[in-house]
Amino acid sequence: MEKLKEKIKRIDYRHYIAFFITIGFVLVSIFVFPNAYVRICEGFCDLWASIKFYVKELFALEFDAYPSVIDKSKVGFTPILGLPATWEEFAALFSKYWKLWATTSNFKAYLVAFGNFMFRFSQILLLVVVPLFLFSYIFFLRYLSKHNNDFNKDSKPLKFTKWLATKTYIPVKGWTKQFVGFLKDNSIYFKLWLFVWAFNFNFITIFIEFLAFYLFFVISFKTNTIYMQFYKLACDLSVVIAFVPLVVWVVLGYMFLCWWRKKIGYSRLNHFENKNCGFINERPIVIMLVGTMGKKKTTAITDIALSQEKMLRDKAFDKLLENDLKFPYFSWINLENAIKHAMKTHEVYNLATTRQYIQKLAYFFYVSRDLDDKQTTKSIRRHIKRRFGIDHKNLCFDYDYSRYGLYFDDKLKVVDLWQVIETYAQLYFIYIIQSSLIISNYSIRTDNLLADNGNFPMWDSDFFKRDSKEIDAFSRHAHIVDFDALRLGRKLVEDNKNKDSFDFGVVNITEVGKERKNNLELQEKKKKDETTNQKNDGFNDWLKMIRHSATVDNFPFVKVITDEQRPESWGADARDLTEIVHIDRSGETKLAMPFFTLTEMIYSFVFSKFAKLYYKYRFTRSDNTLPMYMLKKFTAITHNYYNGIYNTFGYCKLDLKVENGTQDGQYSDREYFLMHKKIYSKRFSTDCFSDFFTNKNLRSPVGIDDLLEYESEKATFEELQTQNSYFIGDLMNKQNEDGKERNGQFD
Amino acid sequence: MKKKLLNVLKILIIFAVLFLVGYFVFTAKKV
Repeated sequence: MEKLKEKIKRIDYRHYIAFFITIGFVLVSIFVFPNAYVRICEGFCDLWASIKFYVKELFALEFDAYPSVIDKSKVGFTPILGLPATWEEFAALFSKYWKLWATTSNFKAYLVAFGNFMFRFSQILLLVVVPLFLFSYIFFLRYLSKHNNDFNKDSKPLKFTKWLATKTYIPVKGWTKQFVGFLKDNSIYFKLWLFVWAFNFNFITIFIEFLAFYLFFVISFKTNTIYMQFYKLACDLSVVIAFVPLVVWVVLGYMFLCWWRKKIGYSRLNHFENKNCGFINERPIVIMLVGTMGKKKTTAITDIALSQEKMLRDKAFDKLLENDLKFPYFSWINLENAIKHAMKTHEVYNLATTRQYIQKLAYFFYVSRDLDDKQTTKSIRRHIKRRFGIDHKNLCFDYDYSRYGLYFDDKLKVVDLWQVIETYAQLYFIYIIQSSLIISNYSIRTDNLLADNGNFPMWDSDFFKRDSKEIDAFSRHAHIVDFDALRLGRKLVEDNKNKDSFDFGVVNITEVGKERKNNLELQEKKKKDETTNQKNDGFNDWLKMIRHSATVDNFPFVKVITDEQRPESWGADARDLTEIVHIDRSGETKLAMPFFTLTEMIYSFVFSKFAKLYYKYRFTRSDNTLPMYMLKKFTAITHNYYNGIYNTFGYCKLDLKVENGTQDGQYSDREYFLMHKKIYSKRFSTDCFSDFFTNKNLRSPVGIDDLLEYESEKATFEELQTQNSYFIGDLMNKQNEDGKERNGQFD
Repeated sequence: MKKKLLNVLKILIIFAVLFLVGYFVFTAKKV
């Protein structure tokens, strides 16, 4: 007994609340919606009768089976819109409806009714809303007429409001939030409530009746019974329509609109992303984005890199299935587990080691098969288990090769199982790598999620539905580029351990011209120089040969994306390999989500009025008053909602002109979409080299305020001299030489 | 300016649709 009491005490009190709410809903169901019980009984009777009818008709059996689903309900509901009970009555009313619809008198009556409605609406607007608004405005102006310097001091009404909110609103809000959290953790209550209300509103009955009618109709095809089902539906729905008040319908309608427009917004964003992917796929392996400052070059190459990374994984995924189906009975999961294990032990860490790993296993398999000696096979198995952690019944990942075969003919060539395994292993290696596939000279955040239950893992690469509060928990960043890894010739650090590391991925290089320079800037540098320079490091050769290291199953898993202000800034030898994408124009921000016009207009009206008022207030006073507190709170909510929508569904279109790297062809006009949620969600820093300038500025003993000012609108001779300018210096020298010559003449 | 005009046009269309829907419901109620 004591133990039971202890147990009861330990139960979270919110369980009691949820339990009593459930009991309350059940009581409401019993006393307010008794007909729901009658209807559900009818529904089950109809379903049973329909099943009997279905079986009887299907097997042509002889027993009594009347499909009661075609009959009217015994509950006397009034259907919505006063729908008549029979098709004949409905047909007569329908024709009457259209006749009446087309009469002038009816339209005039509607105009009168509409006028009355508008009159009442205007009355409310003019008698309540406008005076209230004017009164508030005049009341607020009173505050603006009094000047003070009471820095951050709360007024008495505000103090009282804050105190009241602390005692009432804040605890209620806090409790409600944690109760909602409790309900989320114990979803059984919420499901139970949903079930009770679905039952009360006859939704469950409607579903059962639908099944009953479906079974009857597919076997009988009696179309004259369809109308009765609509009538019954109208009767059943009349309960929810009558019970739920108009205000709730308005709120529900608004919520539905929000859900619907967001759905359209997301599908548009995905459509733009697909268009972007199409654009990127059409480009060659090396591309160069060009545009003047502020044209969103770096933003665009980051966006392209993110999409390209996703596409590489998608391509690997597609090709995995292609290779899987070449040997449909092969135990791919055993191979995948072996690769995962090899990656953990660092046996496999790039494509070359993956190939080598599979080749070793293939060698052991063929040796064992060719020798056909049990003792040797046993020794090899023991060795493989110790060396690679693989322990299967045979040396081919448990694949029954004697039954299913070792060769596949694709009608072009015959391939060996181990060749396919080698390809599959490389693709799986590309697919499974959890860190970013981007290698870059600036940081890029990626937030792809790998869901893994220990079987085949699945990537979630959605760019638009990530919760901004959680991105830090699962974000990864691009790998730091080591340019020595991109050099086939001399290296800056000869014993650099990363120097041979690159074999596939997305290489992003911003300001490539400043790194590689052009022929004019490299005039002084020579190939034979002792030190490593752009002419002897073999970077261009690497660029030309890049696809060789990255090709798996005839697809190059590599892309080099660069940007620069002018194409000519990058030497022609490398630039000729690329396609140059000029950013012609960066368009205005638009919204992918429809039906936001009204909110947008209200927001711009409210915000413009508030901004003026707010700074007038800040200029006049510095204390905190209740009206300003409330006004600011309301405006902040509106502003944050508006910004949230634009940050999620905003996009801007880049107008592009694409030309060959040789710069001797025609321009082709293309477009690219930059979606805010994808590219501005902490993806990269627009001032990625700012730390260099920070150090430079920190060294400076003076700031802008300390710099000398011109005395007047015309600079003096001394002021010009302080510019340390080449131009002014030249003028000074010329003047001095001129002066000397003249002095010489007079001498 | 063009954007504002477009917004006003959008709102007018929404009101016109609501007006028409209202007429359908009004006639249905009368029948």
